[in-house]
Amino acid sequence: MPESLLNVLFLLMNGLIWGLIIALIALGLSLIFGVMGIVNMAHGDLYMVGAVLAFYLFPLLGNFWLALLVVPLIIALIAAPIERFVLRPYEGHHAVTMIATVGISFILQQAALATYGGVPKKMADPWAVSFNLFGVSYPGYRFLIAAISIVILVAIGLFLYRTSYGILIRASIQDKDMAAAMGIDINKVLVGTFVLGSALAAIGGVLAAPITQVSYLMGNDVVLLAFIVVIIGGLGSLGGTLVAALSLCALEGVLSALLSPTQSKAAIFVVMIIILMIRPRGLFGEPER
Amino acid sequence: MKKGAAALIIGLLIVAGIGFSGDLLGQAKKPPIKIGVVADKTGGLAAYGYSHEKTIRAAFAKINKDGGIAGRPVELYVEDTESKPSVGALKFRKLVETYGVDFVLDSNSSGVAVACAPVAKELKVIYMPSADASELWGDKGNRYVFPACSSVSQETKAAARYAVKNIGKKWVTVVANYAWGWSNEEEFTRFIKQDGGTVLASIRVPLGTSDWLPYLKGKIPKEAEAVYFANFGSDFLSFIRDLYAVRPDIKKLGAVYALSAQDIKKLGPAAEGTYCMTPYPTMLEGLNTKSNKAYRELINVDAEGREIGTGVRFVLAFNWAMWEAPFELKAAIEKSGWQGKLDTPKLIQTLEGMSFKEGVEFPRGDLKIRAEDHLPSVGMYVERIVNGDLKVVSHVPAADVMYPPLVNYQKEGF
Repeated sequence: MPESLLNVLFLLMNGLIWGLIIALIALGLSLIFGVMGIVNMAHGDLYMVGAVLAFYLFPLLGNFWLALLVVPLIIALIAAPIERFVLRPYEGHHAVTMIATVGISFILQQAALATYGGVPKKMADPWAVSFNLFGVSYPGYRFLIAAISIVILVAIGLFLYRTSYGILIRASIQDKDMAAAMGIDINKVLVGTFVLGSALAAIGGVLAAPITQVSYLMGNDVVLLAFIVVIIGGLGSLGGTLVAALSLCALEGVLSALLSPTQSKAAIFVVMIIILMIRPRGLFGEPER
Repeated sequence: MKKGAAALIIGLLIVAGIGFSGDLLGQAKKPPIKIGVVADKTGGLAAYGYSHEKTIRAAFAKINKDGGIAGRPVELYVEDTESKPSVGALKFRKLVETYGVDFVLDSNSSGVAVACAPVAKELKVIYMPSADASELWGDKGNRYVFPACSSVSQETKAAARYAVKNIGKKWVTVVANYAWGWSNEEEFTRFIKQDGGTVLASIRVPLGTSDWLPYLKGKIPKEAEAVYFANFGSDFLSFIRDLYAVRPDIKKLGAVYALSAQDIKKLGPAAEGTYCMTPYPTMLEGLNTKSNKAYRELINVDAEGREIGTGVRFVLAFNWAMWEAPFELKAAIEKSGWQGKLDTPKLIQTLEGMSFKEGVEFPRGDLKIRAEDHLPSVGMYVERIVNGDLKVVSHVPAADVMYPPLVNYQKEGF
């Protein structure tokens, strides 16, 4: 295979793997926005909390995969009170809720700063195996991330489309007031959705922790991309979010072969602007009712 | 009742008056000299800010113990730059306008230093950063700015000379995408060409990048023999891991800082054989003099560069600059007779061209501040990771790395 084609394939694969992590985070954001109508500015910081917890739990538990199970439980303990005491009182007041989530973001960041500290640190590799692919000694751990992300995404899909709880959530996304009128305990759905969405962000953080640098500000890097993916995919469309995450990150990967990665990031924003100009409601978004 | 209250108030005022005048007449204490520090306590440079702040405090603790500066005690005010230029400039202003400091030290970030330099001139306060982007002794510096460390030009001049003679002729540069990285890229390219080498590709990577594979894969020409890199901290860890995955054979020469605060033994085969420039050897054995031993004791650091008690690895690459700067200020203030802000021009003229002798206050050797551009005469060391240990393999004396000044601040007014 010619060198340049190898490069493109490699970068495409690399991009897709990041795309899967972003898909997890964006899906969480999309669920929260779809069901609760909340623009959660603290979503990126829940990703950060997941990564920081993974940083501490990995040496503590001795097993990275255990961290993957334990972190969502810890996040549930953090997310549930946030929903009940910070978000639910301001339900319906979108601007106030958004500001409240900014406050949550500050609290999470400062808490991490006070405990984890200000220095970005690298975590050890959970699986120190490398594969020789496309001329690069590629870390095997990245394939594991991809595999686990796919499993989680499929599980979430099955949950949302094949279980009764999933129907409750999707009904609430479609029309919350109607769902409440039909006798659905909307408060339980709200808390459950927020916890699920936050857990997805945190799992994204756990998976990303070994390949990225864990720092108290790392949430800021992903939250913007997550919002873009949700909007491009179409507000309220979970499938759209998934498609947008994978395509945008794959595209960024391929563009890095021609341009520098920094320029590719900028190019993605141009792509986003073009898409929104042509289809303001995103690729799969519902038309405004 | 009213008469009683009035008498009481007058009585209290008299007592207060006696109390105050007693204070004035009693010990005529000299007013303190206030010194501000813009430290990088959080963000990408937090590890550096930690060791710099500790070193500055140790230096002024020694100065205060020995009687202060011109008999006046020194008060320190420390603010956090968050490793961001905008925040650093804001904190600089706060130190001067809110706390009334007379001098400001530190920031390791070239970005912060470049942002603070014009503020120093505007507020007429001497500023001594520990950042090394060459423009700080050029068009981004000014008469009030005295960076206390080596410049990227000195570092890369030494690097290029050693590189061509001992490592290879065909190079690729990989630098952090901000002022310090650009400075390294431009200067190394300039000097390597002068010494007969070539730079085949220049790669720039944003700070905080964790995945370096897209930046390195397919971007390093096959003929490249070696990489000159300018990054640090966890960026360095990601870089060295990903470079090894892409080109395990390539030789590596790091700019000053690259290996700072790293646990060399934990770096593994990816880092073996890496060279690194430094103005100050990490290990005591690299400069085993009485003054250096005394200096390391005073800043509470062991022979390997770890803080005694906490085990935290100090970033020794530049914190000697934040040790020497307080003593440079002390000597210049006492020599010029500086008493307050109005005397600052006199103080600047004293600092320009001033010389200092080797000793515990200047452990690396004699030092001279060049009058035209404030460049200190700093020599360079080349360290190398050999079997998991850091060893000094070469020393380039200060005279060999000096270069003609780019500016003449003495033509500037105050």
